[in-house]
Amino acid sequence: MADTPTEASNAAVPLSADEIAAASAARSLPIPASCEAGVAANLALLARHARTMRGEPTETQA
Amino acid sequence: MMGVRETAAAVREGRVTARALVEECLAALVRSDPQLVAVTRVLHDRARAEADAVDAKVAAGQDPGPLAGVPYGVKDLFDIAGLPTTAGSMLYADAAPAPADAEAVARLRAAGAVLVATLNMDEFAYGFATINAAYGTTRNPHDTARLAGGSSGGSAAVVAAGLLPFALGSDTNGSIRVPASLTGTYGLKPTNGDLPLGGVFPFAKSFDDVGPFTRSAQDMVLVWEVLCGRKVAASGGTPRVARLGGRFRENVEADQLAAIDAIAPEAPLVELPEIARARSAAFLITAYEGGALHREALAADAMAFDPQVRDRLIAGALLPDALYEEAQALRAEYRARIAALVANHDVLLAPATPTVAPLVEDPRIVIDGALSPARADLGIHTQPISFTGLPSLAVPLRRPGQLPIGLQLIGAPGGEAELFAFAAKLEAAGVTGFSMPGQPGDLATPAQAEPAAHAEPVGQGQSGAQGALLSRA
Repeated sequence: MADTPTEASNAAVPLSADEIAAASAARSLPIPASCEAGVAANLALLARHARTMRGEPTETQA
Repeated sequence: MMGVRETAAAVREGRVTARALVEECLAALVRSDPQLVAVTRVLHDRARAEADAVDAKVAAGQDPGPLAGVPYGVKDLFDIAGLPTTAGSMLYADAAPAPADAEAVARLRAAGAVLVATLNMDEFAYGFATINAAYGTTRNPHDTARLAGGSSGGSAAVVAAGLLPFALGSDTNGSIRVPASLTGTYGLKPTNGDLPLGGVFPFAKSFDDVGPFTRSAQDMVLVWEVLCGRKVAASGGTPRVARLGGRFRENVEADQLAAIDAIAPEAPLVELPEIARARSAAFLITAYEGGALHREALAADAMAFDPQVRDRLIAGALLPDALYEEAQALRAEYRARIAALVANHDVLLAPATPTVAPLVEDPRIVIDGALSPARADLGIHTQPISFTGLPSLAVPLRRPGQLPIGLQLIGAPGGEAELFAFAAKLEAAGVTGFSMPGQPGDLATPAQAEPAAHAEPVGQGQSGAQGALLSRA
């Protein structure tokens, strides 16, 4: 599907609790407890968009 | 309230004073807003002072400007001298007053327009719904149980309700075109970067633009000329029209496809390549830039943000830099490819929104057969166009008695004049046009009231099979 010659980076959207915590620390952006579920859901959505941008199948396409 | 042209003419000719108009307008805004929830501040003192200045010029025989005495409002992210710029957030409700008007507001003031109100929006323009925890949910004038769309929902609602002849909004991924479609107004996203953004609270700098809402194509031209400081001059030839295919013919209302095919039945179907990739890259760039813009404020007090926006911004702030750079690289390549693709067309036809206005009580829409949040996905047809930087004018299909829905007329870079000319012809042919809420058909002549799908073709496909533009006799 991907015919645009954009080179994909290895950058991944943080998804696991550990990855999100690490990204939060790296950006000096603490996540309030009441926001954790919402942030994780939004990161999951962004991860799907990252896969789509790279021409990779998403769950619904796989 | 009359339209832009009629209002300015009446004031310039001394048939009515700007002050009388503004008093009428202020009273109507105060009276109507409890139902619409579209206004965040009514600017009584400033409006009266600006109106009096216009009247003084008229009395002195001076030129009061092309928009003399025309009342208007702005989305609550334009700087207004002496007031805090809230961007729809309580975080900025007590911010330092803006030292000067935004450049767009200054240009309108110089042309004689009268600023009367600031207007509701999704917090920080992050949404397609105008659901705002602090200022309320803006209602659609055609059915107050439904959303007006967003993020410039307040601007769209006051124009659609007939309370103001025009209003300014901002459009990053569809925030003018989506509410224009849902409220049956005209809304322009100009060529990316063409209008000045000085004094406008940013959202995602790669895609941000400002633009007007109006009730007619003619009024759009008048406001546009003031904002950009140029006279509109279309080529005058028969426009080369194409219909966008692929994803732009999925997730649409039947009336939209019927209208597009009736407008230009012989026009080629053009498929923008890799549109899903483009939209996803736009989504990522927007999330990253929005998150970066607010990261410090989120770190200081995330709970002060609108809950509908906060989690999205935090997630965006956590995206890796390399992913953003990858999306930007795709954007640069994509723009070049699209520029070559559209070089042979003056107008591309596409739907503006996938559906009519969703209910406030259930703000979800169906995308690819599944329910999806309207706040995120009403821009499915506008966001890919933002990615290209092309100008896009949302025009309302004329279908009195039904909920509004619109099309996008997409042009070449700098091609706004061709879009306005084409929109005027569609309007004259009765295919598109504004209908006043609650008065279906009031503005339609018998000829204009025909369903859009039955309209005569008004565009010429590249095949050249269709004749010159038609106007209904």
